[in-house]
Amino acid sequence: MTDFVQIVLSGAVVGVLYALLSAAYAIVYAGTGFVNFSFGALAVLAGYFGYVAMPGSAIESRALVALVVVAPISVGAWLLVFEPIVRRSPVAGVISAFALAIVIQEAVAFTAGNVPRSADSPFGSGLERVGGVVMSHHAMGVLLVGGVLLAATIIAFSTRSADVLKAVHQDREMAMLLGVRARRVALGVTVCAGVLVVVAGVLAPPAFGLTPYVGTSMGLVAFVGAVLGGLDRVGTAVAGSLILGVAESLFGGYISSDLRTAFVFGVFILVLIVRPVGLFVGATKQKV
Amino acid sequence: MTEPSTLSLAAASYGYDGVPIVRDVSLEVATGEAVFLVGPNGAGKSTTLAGIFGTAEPMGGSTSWRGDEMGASWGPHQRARSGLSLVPEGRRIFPSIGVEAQLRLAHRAARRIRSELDHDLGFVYEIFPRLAERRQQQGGLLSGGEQQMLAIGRALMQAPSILVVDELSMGLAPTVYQDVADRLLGLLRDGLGLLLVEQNARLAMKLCHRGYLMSNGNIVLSGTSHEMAESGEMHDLYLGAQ
Repeated sequence: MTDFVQIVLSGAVVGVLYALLSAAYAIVYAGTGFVNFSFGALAVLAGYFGYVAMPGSAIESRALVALVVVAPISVGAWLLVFEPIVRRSPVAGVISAFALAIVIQEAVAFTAGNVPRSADSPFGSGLERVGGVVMSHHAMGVLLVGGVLLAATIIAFSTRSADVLKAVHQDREMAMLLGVRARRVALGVTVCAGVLVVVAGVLAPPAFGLTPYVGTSMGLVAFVGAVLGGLDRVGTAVAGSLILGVAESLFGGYISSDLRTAFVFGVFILVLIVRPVGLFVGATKQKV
Repeated sequence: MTEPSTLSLAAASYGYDGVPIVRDVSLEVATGEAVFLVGPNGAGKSTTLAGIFGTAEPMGGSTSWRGDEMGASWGPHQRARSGLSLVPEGRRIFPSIGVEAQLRLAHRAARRIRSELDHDLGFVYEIFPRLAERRQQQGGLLSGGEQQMLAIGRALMQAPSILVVDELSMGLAPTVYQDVADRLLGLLRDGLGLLLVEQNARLAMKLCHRGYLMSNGNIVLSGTSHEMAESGEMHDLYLGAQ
């Protein structure tokens, strides 16, 4: 039983890290109809600013630098690269996001070297024992900071603003004819997503390790989680990633640790066959 | 009553991707009057509306509202917020947003005063009791007639000065149509201006005092409903062909 609780808890921590990126995918998708696959690489870039670029300075200032450098890069990429491409072809937009992700990842590898870097948790290296269950301070910090940020994002993008996002997503021109500033909505979701990506990028390395290439798998798994729950709402996308994190952890703990990644993508294929709109999206929902 | 405001197109041309679709269109609609724009399918009526609302490119001439030239820099959202509202062809209801949520969205997007929301909702529900019954229903689950009611209600939530309706009769049962038309005409006294775009010229001429006939991207005839109904050109070009 203790084992089980331990495994679920560590799965929840992993799930929160995925969920931060899932939430970013979901709000950007809702506001622009575009899946920004550069988020994984941008998170890693934030990780390098947080743990590698300025050794010796306090973690708070490193995290702040990650935010003020990487979030504007993400917004700039939207305005200069993705928005003009997505307007003409959403599919080309997705491919360009993958391309940018590779450019960022190679730039990181070139600048900082393709070696794993250590990342000390901003919450310290302590451990707490409750019953037989052990929790690191990092795990608790991730659950707290990530949980608060995810809850805030879900609340901010529910009800009224969710309707605006849906309207832009379903019929952008009609939304504009009603007075909605569609470009500003797109910019707003991009800025919020940038913050989520940076937070994920700073919280993840102590748990996942830090290499230039870790963003690819993290970004993809977070996308799987978002689709699992339902990509067009933040709440469902977050729930999907939490479930995926716990399921991955249970699979790794009880069945095979080596096949975890295969399990994740196996689940993905299964979901796409059985419920392509996501587990939590009502059957009456229409796609345009 | 205050001085009427005028939406004015003077020799305006509009099109897409650099190709003009309608040329040298001149027409005027003032607050407090109902004007029709009729013409066969493909005459350029919808492109003219897209020009008015800023979703087609202006390619010459002038498009002005309350004396201000609405150039390419006037985005659709700006036009919506300045008192121009559209009930578009095909209704364009958001399928997965609820009825009341769409009404609220239209209110907010046009920057209407928050404290008037309940009053405006009540006004729309009074005209369309059917929408009140369906207020939680998602737009995509409404019947065609209900969607038309929602499209009109959505525009009315914006308290427009000029309401442009592309095919008012579309999807509405004849009795509902008559009722809605009467309600809209009743709003003229409060200073609403109406531009009714119809394929069915007879319906449009019954509702409006004057109007325009479009054909092949041009305005080919204008005048009072009476004059136009009598005109041989109207019959040759259009009514006779129906």
